Amino acid sequence: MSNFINLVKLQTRNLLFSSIRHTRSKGKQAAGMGFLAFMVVTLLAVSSFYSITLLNALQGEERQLALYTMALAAFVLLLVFAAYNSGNHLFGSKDYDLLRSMPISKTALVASKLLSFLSLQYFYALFLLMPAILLYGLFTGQSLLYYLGGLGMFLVLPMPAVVLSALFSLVIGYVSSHFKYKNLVSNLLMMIFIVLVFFGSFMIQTLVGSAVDVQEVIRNMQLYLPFFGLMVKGMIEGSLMSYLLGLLCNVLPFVFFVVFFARHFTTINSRLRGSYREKNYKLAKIKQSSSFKALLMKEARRYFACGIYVMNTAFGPVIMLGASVFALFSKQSLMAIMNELPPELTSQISVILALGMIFLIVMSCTTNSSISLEGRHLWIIKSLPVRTEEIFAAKIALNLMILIPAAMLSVLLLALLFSLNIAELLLLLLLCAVTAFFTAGFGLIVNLNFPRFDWVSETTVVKQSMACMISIFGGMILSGIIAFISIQVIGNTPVPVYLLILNLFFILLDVVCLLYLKKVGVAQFKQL
Amino acid sequence: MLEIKNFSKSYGDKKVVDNLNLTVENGEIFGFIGHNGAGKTTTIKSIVGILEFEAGDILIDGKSIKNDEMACKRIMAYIPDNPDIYESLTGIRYLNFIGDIYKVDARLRETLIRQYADAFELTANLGDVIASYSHGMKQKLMIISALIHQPKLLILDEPFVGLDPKAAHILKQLMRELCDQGGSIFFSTHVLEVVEKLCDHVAIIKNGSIITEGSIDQVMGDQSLEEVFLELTDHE
Repeated sequence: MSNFINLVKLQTRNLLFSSIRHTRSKGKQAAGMGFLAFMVVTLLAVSSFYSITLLNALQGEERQLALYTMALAAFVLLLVFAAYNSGNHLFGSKDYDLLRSMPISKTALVASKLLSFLSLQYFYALFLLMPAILLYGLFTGQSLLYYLGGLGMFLVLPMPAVVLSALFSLVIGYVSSHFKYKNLVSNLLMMIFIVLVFFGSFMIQTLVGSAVDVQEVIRNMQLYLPFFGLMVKGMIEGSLMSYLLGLLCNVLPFVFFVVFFARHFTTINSRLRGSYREKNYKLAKIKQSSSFKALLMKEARRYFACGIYVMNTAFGPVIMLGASVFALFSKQSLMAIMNELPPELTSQISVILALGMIFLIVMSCTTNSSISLEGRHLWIIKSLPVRTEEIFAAKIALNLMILIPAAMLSVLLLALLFSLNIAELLLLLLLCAVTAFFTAGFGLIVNLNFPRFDWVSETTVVKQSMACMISIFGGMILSGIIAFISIQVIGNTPVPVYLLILNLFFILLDVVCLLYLKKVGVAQFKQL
Repeated sequence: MLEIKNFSKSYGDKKVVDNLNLTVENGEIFGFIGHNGAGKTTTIKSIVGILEFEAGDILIDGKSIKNDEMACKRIMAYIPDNPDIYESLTGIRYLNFIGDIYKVDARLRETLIRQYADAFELTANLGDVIASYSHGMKQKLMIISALIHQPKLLILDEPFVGLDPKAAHILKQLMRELCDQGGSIFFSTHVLEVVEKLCDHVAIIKNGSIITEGSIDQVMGDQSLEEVFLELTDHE
């Protein structure tokens, strides 16, 4: 039993607190803790804001819809977050060999893996679900039983998300293990899974939304999504039977999965890890390239070999491209909406597009984890005859390669759609480039200051590291400030002039980043 | 080829190497031995430019690793104690990556890769991703990657760990060949028999300081290296 408790504690700590324990510096640890606390408060505030907005928008019995909607959003997001992590934590964990060689029972090992994984989902559910449960209770004056029911839902709602994501990870792992480039196949399949989840939730919303009134919407939720639909019904209406049925819908699949997983844990891991292919490589003609190209190709291969890295950083380019293409194909309906908007807003469309592009670009930073991801391989680039500046350039170039073509194509499509003049088009294209450069440079600086090399899973670096969080939230805050200032001055400044100011601002930031990397970053890298 | 002058390195307040001096001549194989934590890997990582150090200097072919890092790195190769290499690359891509960085001509690269990969029986596996390699295969790949740019100085940290007997034998042959052609080798190991048979010079490090250094015959006298090592390192 003590082994089991120790394992759960160890693995939970590894999953939850991995972002702040990487540095020996007390100052940086304190800064990390402070930033984490800031993030927790911010996420709670954002989640609460959504719930309050929904609750204020609905009146009377219709307010129930707010809780159902937030529970659906929580379920979908939990499923996505669980899918990101389950492959690494449950099946592909690097501590598998070590743990299996220890005198720990298979059941204790499996249970510890699942419990620690669930604890991570509770961490997410705390932001996604808890504010909605509490706020609905406060807005509608619910009894103690409601809150107890809410606590129960908080505890069991992550379970089906864990089961579904684990099953998909299992399938993905099994299929990809038969390919030479299994990481690439695994990435593609995982992307398909995430798209399917969002598409599925969209279909459910369409299905639910086709109802004639709110009560029918709620009935549809209870019918199609009993995981939370029945539990919410039980909590609100005090129906114990509905609540228990909903509870079973969450708990039973989880119990079956635990039993299945425990029974086949070794077989699953052996199958996923071991495969044999005929070795028949014949040395062919070799092409020579420059050291910079070699470094860049190494970065690119590293990037595309890590699914979580791709999914965490490619959504910006994917969204900007997807939205532009979608907008182009929905030109007529979009123009109809545009005609409804006040002319002072439609005349500023370039600024609105610029703000959107800035936000999507700063959210797609690959450099904030590219130093940390060198991990145990750091010795290679440190012992090679390449200048540190060249290493930095390759890392920045990869980020630019991912961002700039997608951003520029999007701007061209949108310029076509909104008939932007040539000055606005050129300024928007330049803005994409300088913002992308800032994103890459700033990410690299943050990673140099908060490197993390003792990771076991890449997820720890790409999603949970301090560098990643500072860079992403820093970018969000910056784009928020720019949006705020833009709203204040949007009517008083000619659009091209304002776009020029935005460009100059980012060029200034680029210069600051470049100077920092040259003067301080090189020395910091040598100290690593 | 390699000259270490008054080299000291600390981690925080702890001095792990203290005023170390040694010289490796052209055409010489130099064995560097010591107990775990004596400062071998720290010294090696400083020689190859991975670690910065606060005192002394390290000269490679007369150039300082502190002041002329690139020139030093271009003529040496390093094989660490753990074969941690980019697992997402295939073996051949890793070798090409190294070839590009050291600007090895494509035709020469092809010849050398074929020669060393055949010698280590790794050619058929070069198309596979490194993640699928065993520890020994990764070790062989690192050795090949170190040799394809024809270094003048080869620095190896525990190079025989994980190698099968045949590969270890080939490595010893290649080390001797490199030195016969005028190159130099500096390596650490715990396998004292290898040092006895292979090295021209040896140094024993204890708690960050050299306690004996000289030609292998001078250091051993009429004892075995194991006896000398145990006598010196046990003596307080």
